[in-house]
Amino acid sequence: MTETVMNDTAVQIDGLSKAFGSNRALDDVSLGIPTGSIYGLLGPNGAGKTTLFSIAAGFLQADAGQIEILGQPVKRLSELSGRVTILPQDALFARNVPIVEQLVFLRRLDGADKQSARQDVVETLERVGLGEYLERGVQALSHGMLKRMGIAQAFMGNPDVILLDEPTSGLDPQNAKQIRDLIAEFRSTRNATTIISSHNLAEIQELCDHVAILDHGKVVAEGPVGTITGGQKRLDLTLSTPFTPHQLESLRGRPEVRELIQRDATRIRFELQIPEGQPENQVGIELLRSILDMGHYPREMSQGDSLEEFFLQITGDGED
Amino acid sequence: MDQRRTRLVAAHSSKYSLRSGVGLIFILLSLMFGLIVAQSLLSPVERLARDVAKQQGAETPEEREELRREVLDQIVDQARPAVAWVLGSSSVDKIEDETERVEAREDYEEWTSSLLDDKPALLSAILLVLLWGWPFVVAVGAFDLVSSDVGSRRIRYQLLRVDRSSIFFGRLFGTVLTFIAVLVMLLGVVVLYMGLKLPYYEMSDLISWGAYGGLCLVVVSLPYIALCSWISATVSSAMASLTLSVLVIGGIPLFSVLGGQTSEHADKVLYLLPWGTQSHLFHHDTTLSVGAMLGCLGYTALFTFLGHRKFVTRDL
Repeated sequence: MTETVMNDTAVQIDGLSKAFGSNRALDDVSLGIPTGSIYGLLGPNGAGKTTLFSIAAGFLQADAGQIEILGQPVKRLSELSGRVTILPQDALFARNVPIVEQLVFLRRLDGADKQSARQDVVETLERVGLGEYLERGVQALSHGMLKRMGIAQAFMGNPDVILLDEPTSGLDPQNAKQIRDLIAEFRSTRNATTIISSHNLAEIQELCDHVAILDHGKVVAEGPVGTITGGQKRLDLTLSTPFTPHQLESLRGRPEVRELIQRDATRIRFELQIPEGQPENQVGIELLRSILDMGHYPREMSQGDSLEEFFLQITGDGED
Repeated sequence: MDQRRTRLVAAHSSKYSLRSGVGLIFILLSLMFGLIVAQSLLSPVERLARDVAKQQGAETPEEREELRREVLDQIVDQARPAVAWVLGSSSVDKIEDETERVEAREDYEEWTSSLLDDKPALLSAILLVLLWGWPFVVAVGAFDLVSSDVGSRRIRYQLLRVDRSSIFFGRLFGTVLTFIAVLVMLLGVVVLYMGLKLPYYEMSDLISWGAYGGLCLVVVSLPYIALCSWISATVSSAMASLTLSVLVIGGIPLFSVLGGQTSEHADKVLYLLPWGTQSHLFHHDTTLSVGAMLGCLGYTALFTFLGHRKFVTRDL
């Protein structure tokens, strides 16, 4: 995903701490979330993601530190009239109120008048595929549909900041993909800063341009996804036949190869250095071309670390 | 607090709380309670009056009407001590000073007379029973001001859109509106029935006394609704909120009665809630009735303050 150039921060978190009894859920967390970014908040279960979201949305009160969203402290977020929305994790909708009425009520709380609120809700529900359930109760919806309804209430109107807490948790792969597609589709038409918490690393890598990794309540890594994963600076190859010692020596001698790591006979990792002014892709392509010239055809190839690999490295193989 | 949003929350809350299972149970319970009270007081009077008229061979409607009136007067006379007891006359016996005791007894007799002689007696009796039973109806109607929405986290959809004070007061106002609607409906039916079926009283007397009684019931509902809002803002389970509300509202008079067997000061416990003063809402002395109203509003302000503070500071 391309990285957006950001000039300012939509969400500023400074020294945030929260404990539940003796358990420190958040420990001096500081983050600046760039305006217009799709920001992933990654972490194993219990890392503090939902607690951070809950404080950002004003559900919980921090023990120390502060959060400002769009320059407004959390306590006064409601004054932003729907410019900040959230898909809370595990929050239920009312069972005795028709779906359309629930969302119209929320839109009206955002400040919309009755007519435009209804129009907006109907359009958004149709967009998430729930157009035929407008007057029904939520008991008519499956788990996946309920998530879509939650997505609809987060994206309706024209919010500037959207918090999505585990948007695909508990969903089967098809429904999870539908939700990811919906988020991507909404994002394509509305340039809102979107913050997604998840422990699904592939999902974050697919959707987000920035990421922060939380572990035991602390931020252990933060930045653009490309920077976190090494981006174009690392190339992993799996070959059909091993390189000869001479070929290895020749590759090590190339100016763009900072380090060559032979993981086993056919699995090679190149740590690349990108010469100033040279496109990153070009460096990888030239290296590949010379490998092909040597008569080797890679069976598998990947660029950069996967987020998962990086995540497991810094969180201790995912052990909570 | 945002007035527009508070109004929105109040309207939404009162509209949809009635559509929930609990809301329907509340409506049914409150109407059944009120109508059963009315029926249990009106029906024996009607039956007795009819039987007496039959025994005495009253033939013309005027004769039957005259006999009914006599029967009603006798019933009212017999009920006088019971009504005085409900108003709290038993406390007179605890007064040691003879002169004060006599004065207090005279005051109670005057109070009782104002309800049974100056006002439509049967309607007074109905209002008195409602006054003492209504707090329990309030517990059923107001226990879930926010607790189940907090427990299910449903309230989180609103928290970024509206400040907590608007949610709290919106729901409080919505609940009060619901109670007003139910009381208007209930007393409207009772007054209309009495006016049509029991021509002993002037319709205008029934309407004015029924309206004042309704106002008193609304006023006495307020502190109990506020108390329930405090309990509801404190616990995140609707069932726990209902249990606590009923226990607190019912437990205090129960403790007072049981404690009165061993301690003469046990009745002071009643003043933790409006139980100790609410019957004065029907006092003939305006100073005392207005004082009781202000007392109810004072309790309301205190419980609302506590509930609001809890709701705006707690984790949701």
